[in-house]
Amino acid sequence: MENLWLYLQFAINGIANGCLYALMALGMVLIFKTTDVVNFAQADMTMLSTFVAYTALTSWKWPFAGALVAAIIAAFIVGLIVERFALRPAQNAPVISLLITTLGVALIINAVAGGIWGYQTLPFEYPLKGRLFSIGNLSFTKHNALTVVVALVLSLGFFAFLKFTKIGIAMRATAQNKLAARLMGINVDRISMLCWGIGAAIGAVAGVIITPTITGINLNVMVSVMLKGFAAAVLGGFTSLPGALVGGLLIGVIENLFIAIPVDWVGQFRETFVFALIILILTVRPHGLLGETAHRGT
Amino acid sequence: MLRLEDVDISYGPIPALKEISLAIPQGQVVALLGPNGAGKTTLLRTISGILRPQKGTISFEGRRIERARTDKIVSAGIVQVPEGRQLFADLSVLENLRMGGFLRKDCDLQKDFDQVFSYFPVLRDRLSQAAGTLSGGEMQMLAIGRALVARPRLLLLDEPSLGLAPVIVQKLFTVIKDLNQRQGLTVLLAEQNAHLSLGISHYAYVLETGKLALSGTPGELRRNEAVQQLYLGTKTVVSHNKDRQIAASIRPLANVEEVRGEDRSDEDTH
Repeated sequence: MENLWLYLQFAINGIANGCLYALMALGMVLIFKTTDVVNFAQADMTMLSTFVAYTALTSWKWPFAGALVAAIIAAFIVGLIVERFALRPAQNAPVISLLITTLGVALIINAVAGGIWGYQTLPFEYPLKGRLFSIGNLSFTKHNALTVVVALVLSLGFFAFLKFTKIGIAMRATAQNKLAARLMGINVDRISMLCWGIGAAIGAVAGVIITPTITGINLNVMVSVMLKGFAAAVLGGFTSLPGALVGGLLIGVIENLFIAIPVDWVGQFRETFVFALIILILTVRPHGLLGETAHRGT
Repeated sequence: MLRLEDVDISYGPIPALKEISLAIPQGQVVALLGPNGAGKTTLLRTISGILRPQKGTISFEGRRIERARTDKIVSAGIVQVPEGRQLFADLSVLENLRMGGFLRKDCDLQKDFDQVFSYFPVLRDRLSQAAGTLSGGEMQMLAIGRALVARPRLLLLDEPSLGLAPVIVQKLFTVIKDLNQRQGLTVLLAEQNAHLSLGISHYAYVLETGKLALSGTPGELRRNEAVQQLYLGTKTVVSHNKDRQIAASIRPLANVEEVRGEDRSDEDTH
């Protein structure tokens, strides 16, 4: 019985973590769908905006919500700049070159952030400590509640935006058929830029909220978050936005359940197990859980 | 209304169109005839600003547009129904129509939707259906409807009859004729189906391997021997020499048939 509570507790933590992986995945899938580019700079872009939040919190003494907004705005602007000055000039190059371009962007951002904030791990103060409420042996921390609420509001708001607004529909239209989008008078370059901005901003939210739960912020801390977001996106099919959410939640829950198993080496190798499981799922469903099996039109 | 002068276009080193000059007067339907690969789609994409000409000028109502961005060309009033419909397959019928009005400043598209439904009532019953699940004829109707929501003054149609049943093609051409006669819409119609196109057009150009070979009124073209033989399928006596030319120009198709034949025999041996 006690074990069951333990597993439930870890599952709850897993859902919270999974929400953040899901957001990371959502940002990457959005960029991929509209521009066909897998953004390997997502980790470094997120790291940069999380550092902005850090500066807002510690140097400017902003409240946490203000720091989060600062990070979102910074990420959005960085996304626009990366699209406009790194990817658009090379947009006719093969996709593989564009992937390398995003790796180049990652290196540049990493160097710039290193120059500004240094190479050590900085502590990230977090106001939401302690539990919100308990049911039996289960505790729901304020952090978990915030994470779930933020992820839910953000993804629902984003889906509503894509479904009901003219710009949102134009984003989906551009993702499906660029030629037709252009012929309808949609400025495809501007839509790509907007997707990079929004994709980066969604990633920044995940980054700022997850940082306090790991040791602190440094130059490379977001790489493992991005990898799990990437895995979540792959698991969901990489072209499906709901798939990204499902994939993120699954990875979060499974990862945490491995921690709950009371055998030392299982906990240590939990990330290995998570990725092994993903490989297993992908051998059964090569297009991911919610991926499209058909080829998309150009 | 639209005037092309001496336009050259090439894909990299490969020339696609050479020295194209044509004019589309306001209020007319102008047909652009020619076989597959003659350059009809290339020409229409150049007018829409998807491709850039290497040489020559394109002007719309006196303004040069050969270097203009596609969205500027659309807002000037040139709207294209591309070859193969190019719908947003996962978007609903209604969302496709809304995208037709993307550049419209007024947000009241309902009147335009109603006009589309008056031509194509079947679309009204399919509003929430994904465009990719429509039949071929419905897709073409939606593609035309989507373009109409943009309120074009010059409508470019690229092979609207492609892959459709004759009865549907008849209906579409009736709508195109009606749009021209009742709404005064100017139309450039690129088609392989010369017979039907000549039936609704005021003037026609014939494009062959990237060059304008002929032009004239439908009556003049119908009387032209080569047009009769190549595009209208009527039997006339032609000289031996012309016969050879015609045979040469249809050889690519014959090759396709041969390849298909080989494929089939391959399958048999497995």
